[in-house]
Amino acid sequence: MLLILLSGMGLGFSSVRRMRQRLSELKSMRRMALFLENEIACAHTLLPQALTRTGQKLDGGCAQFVKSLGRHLSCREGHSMEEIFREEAFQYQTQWDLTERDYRLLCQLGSCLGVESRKMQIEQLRLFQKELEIEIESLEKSMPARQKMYQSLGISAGVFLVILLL
Amino acid sequence: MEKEQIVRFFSSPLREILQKSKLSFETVYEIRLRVKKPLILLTSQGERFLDGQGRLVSEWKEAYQVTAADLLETLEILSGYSLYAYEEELRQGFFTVPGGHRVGVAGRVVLAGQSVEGLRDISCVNLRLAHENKGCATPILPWVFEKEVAHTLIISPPRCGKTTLLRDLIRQISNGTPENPGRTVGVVDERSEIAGCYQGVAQNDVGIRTDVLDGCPKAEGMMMLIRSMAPQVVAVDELGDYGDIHAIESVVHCGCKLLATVHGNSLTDLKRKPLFGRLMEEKIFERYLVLGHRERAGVIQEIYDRDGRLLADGNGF
Repeated sequence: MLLILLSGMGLGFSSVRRMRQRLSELKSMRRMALFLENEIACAHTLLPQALTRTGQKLDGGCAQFVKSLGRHLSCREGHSMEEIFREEAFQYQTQWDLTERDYRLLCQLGSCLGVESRKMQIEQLRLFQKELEIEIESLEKSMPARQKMYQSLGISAGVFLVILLL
Repeated sequence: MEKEQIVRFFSSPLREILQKSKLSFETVYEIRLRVKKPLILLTSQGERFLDGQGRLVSEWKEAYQVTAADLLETLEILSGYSLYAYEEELRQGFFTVPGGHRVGVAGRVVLAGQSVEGLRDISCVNLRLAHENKGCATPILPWVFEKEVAHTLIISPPRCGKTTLLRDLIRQISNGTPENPGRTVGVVDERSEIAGCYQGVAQNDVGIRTDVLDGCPKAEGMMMLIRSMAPQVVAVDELGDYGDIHAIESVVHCGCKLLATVHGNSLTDLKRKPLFGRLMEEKIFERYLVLGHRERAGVIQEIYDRDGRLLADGNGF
């Protein structure tokens, strides 16, 4: 019975952890966009190197995503930027519990990186940052309430199962 | 030149075709992609067409037709997925990739007033492969680099190897020979063909004492080198502008030696051009090397002194 209760609580806490992780990743993505903007606008760095350097300044899933992307682009595997970016973004989304919307936002960025003019790249990166900020703000606002809800739901589910079994 | 190195610049479908082909890339000068047109390779034996299986075909209609997706993807890969980083170069119509190979592009020009701001809707790509030919200048070195380097002008029709010869001359003068110590050479590489710089690093061997100004107009470049790099020898490719004369005179009056190339068929042909007629009257150049076609590029036909006297012909090498 205790185990069932703990499992229920665990589920609740796990959902809270995933939400916090997503928030952390969104913030990392925002920093990623800022660093990339600097690399492209000021240093005029080629994208594979810009991504590798950016990845070294980040942590978590975003760092892995960016470094892996930089590595694949450096290898000139014979595929388009959009294809490679989408594949890497999909792996990032599934491994780090990002939402479908986060994935679409990333792919939107990937569709113009490398092929557009410098000015357009920078504008797209700034737009990406703005959209992330909206998402981060919304998540931070709703987080306390959701945390309580997930924890309560978890405990409630555990208690309900215990009662059911009894 | 490794085939693997070159085919990696292309999109997957083109990569497969080039991999399957039995052509040696040592003999390929250019690979041309044009949207909805056949894939063409320019080799030492002339134009070659490849079909979808990489086989040589004689009719262009049987050749693989390049698609817009092929070209766009290839352009992405060639530019390292960073076309934005080459905006300045694209205004000139080309950029350089690792290995010193030059990518020429054509498409819709974007103007800002009367000047070219950039290119968009790129529909043609020409990958010009860099071929170093180390040692090709060895036969003529005694005439150009005795105790001192002579002011030398290489005269050549297009595609006869003048840039390849100039590059090797620069390398050998920079490194020195058993008879002569190396010299500091400054190269103004306006079209990135001599050193083939990629991200500022020369991809071709131009010697240990060589400084390269990449993508710089010749006249300005020569003055910059004289002011800041103290070269003993200055090398430029394809003189042809009146603006170059003042710079050439400054180079010579500073005590630097000059190596240069020019388009032309012969010394007589050159005398007819007003700019060079004047330089020849002033006896600026001490050596004139004339290249010709014959069976292959880089064949030196004649060497003349500053007075236009023949010093050696094709039999003398």
